[in-house]
Amino acid sequence: MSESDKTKEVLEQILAELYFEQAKDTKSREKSYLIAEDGQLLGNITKNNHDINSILNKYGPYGSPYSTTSIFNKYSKYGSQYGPYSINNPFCNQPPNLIINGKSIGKVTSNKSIKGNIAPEAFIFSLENSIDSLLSGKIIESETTARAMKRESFIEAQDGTFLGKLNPNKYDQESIFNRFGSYGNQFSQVSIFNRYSPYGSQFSDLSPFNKFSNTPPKIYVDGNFVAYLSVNTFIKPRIDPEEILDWAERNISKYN
Amino acid sequence: MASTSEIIDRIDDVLKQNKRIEWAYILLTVALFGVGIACFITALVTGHFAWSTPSTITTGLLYWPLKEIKEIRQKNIALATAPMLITQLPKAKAAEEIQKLLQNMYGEKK
Repeated sequence: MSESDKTKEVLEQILAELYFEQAKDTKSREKSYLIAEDGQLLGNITKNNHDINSILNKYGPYGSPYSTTSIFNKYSKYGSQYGPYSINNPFCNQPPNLIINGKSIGKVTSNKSIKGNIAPEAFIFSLENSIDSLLSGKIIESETTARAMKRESFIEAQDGTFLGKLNPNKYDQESIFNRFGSYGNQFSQVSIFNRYSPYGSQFSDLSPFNKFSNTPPKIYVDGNFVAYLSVNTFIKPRIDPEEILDWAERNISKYN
Repeated sequence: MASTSEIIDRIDDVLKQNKRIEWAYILLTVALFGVGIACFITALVTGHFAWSTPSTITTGLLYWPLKEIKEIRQKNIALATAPMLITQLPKAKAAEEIQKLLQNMYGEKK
């Protein structure tokens, strides 16, 4: 069926209204929860996925991708790339606060300029895979650690910045093979293909194209470190950035 | 949240639009079928079997309008079910069922 039509639109509207109505009940807050800067509860952190107020309940007001109060809704102000209170907005100055056992642990945001930020990837990975340690206040530190634990194949800069997945799927938004995505685009600041970015310039220490750099990006396959991505021939093990696309095509699955 | 009558009005509007589209498809299907049959009869009457080629093609073309009609009917059923879910079930359960309905028709939202 077509992607956008009136039927879908009206059903999504009704659904969003139903979830919004449920999310108005603020008494449902537990000891551990995520809360937006505008005071909106964004879900309880609980082991019970069937709890209607759980952030992990796909059919609840805080876990459904159709709900306007969910961080999983890519079009909501709490989950969109441009949302004023969103975890996914890299320029958001008012990201949601994570409260564990009544204490604030940090802000969940992709805005790296916020001190002590918790990367959304790491937060969601902790939620889905190690809720016990999350409830005891331990969170996976970075996005790349979470990705490594998910056994993804990707490139990581030495400052911890994620530089794209290695799966040779040109339609994957996060793949370095996608010329229009953030990591394969030659104009993006986080692309190794941008000659003027800190991760692609021949003068930056973090770039694979700097012949003298000792801190080039690292390559992970299925979550394990395999080599450095660098033109510096003194670094071992090493994969040449000029050959990375061919190398990934030969060694990485499209579905990774 | 909008009242139940407002929701029913919104659904009715979409149902009306869907009905119009469904009729357009039905007319198109009938026209295609008519052309196909006419060509086939012409082939039989004249003995020029080249006339049967268009009827084969038009029969093949029937696939798309028939598919669309089937999808519109599915959508109409889903739309007609929604008010009942809202009025009969608790809000949380109604939301869950409408979400499942959407996911069944359009796949999971990512």
